[in-house]
Amino acid sequence: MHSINIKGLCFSYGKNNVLNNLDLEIKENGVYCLIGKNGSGKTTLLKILIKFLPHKNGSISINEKDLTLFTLKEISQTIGFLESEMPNIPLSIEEIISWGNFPFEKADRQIQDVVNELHLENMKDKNFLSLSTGERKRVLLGRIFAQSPDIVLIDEPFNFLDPKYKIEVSLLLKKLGEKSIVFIATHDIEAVQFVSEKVFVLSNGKIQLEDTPEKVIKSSFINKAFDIPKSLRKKFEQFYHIDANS
Amino acid sequence: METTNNKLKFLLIPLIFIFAVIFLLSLSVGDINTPLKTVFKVLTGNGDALSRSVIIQIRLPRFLAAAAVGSMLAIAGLIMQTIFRNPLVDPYFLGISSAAELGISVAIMLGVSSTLFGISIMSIIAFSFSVILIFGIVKIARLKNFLESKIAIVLLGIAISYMLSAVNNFLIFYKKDIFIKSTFWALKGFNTANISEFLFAVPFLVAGLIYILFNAKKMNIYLSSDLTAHSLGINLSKFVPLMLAVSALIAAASVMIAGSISFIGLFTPHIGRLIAGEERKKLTIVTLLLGATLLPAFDLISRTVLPSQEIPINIITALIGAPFFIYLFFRSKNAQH
Repeated sequence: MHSINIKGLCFSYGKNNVLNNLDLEIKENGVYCLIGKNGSGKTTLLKILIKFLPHKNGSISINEKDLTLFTLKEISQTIGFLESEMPNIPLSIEEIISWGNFPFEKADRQIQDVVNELHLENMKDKNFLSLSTGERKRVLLGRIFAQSPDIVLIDEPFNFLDPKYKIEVSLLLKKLGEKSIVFIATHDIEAVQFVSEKVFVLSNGKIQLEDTPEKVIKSSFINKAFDIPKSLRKKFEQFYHIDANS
Repeated sequence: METTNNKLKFLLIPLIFIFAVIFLLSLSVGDINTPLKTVFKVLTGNGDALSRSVIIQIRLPRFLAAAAVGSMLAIAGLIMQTIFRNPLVDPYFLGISSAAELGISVAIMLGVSSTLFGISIMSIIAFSFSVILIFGIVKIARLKNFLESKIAIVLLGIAISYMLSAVNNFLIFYKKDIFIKSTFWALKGFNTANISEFLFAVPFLVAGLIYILFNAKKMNIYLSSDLTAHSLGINLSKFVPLMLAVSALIAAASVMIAGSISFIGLFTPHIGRLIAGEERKKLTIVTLLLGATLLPAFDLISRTVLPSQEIPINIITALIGAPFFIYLFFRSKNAQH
């Protein structure tokens, strides 16, 4: 079984403390969401987990091995990562999915299986740039399927998606979650409720609450996590159909 | 993969045909026109003495130098455009040609005029100045902050270029006779092309090409973003400076043969893209062939368009290249919409 274990993690950009003694533990496969307002440090945490940013204080272990002992190649073989920005890649879909093989330096892993599984057969020669945002997201997830890593980290997977693709992407994330730990950073509260087993609320550099999506959404922490002012709380609860009193 | 290879073959056949036509025309056309029949005879080891000396000693080295420089600039430009994810950069923009020109001015000041193994020492000094500059830039590029912000390297290149030009202008201002000599060197084109310079420079092209073809997949992934490239195991603090160094070395070797030649390094990769798409392995091979065809074609025009007179190749590349580039730009814009 795969695992992520973070203890006492601190990170700052210059004097700006972003993560402050953060603890987090995931021990089972499944889909887990990290929620928090813009600038709360969600993306920073994901970047630290792939060693794009260095961590100085605290310890991180992936599959019970200290992150500092991972080489970059081992990271790419263990962790699949998708960033929040939609990249403009002027290449074919088949080429992009084949990147999933790159960390393993062999081409015999079945790209065709992924193409079939994600129903991309008719478009595999198409240019990525000619696709809609939803289709592009499906292709990028296809690359993660080809990589089949132990841990999947995705930053804002639901950005700019219409309802159909939001559901489709959620289902693909759940499928990935059967074999991997899928850890996503998002502020899409509706999708969080549909997709995740557990939600971590990041605020003031720490995980303030971890629970099932239903409980987190109804907790008073949700207002704190997204910094909703008192004057807007009623509207916020109406907007997301949150019954705070139940 | 089979279909990709077939597509590549399909693309390469017409390109190789055009390359062969330019090759034969370059050997055949000139002040003394040599019929193609005679060219074939000379190439197969026969033919009369005059034709042999014109073709083997003058036109063939000139064609080889132009083809090598064309493919070097095209490949160096393609790498730069990939590393900066910016289609508007060319191989010289980090100051390679300014460094070489400063090297030439210094060599003229020192009164260097001899040759070493058939290569002019002036050219070797020019090359050395470029190499010193490359190592300086690579050293700076390895600093993490610069890697994160490619625009910083671009600004650094522009600043260094201006600085080197200023020093060069100062030398020229002090010793005015440098001006004519260094201008001639910068615009020398393939007038003085010799086989020794060609043989010195080609290994850079071959080594660079092998390196690029082995790293084509990395270049494809790198097109996506730094973050994605890193997450797939590409060590950016090694990959980016190495690619910069490979491109700059190839460009420096080309400057040594022919001085600085405008536009080829900028627009050849663009034509390559229109033909082969963005996949780096295919694009590299097609761009290489295009560079090796276009520059000898421009050289042919430069030495034949006016009777008994040669126009500097830079004028031809800019006069033909710039409008062609603008046409391509608008064509591809229209195609996108």
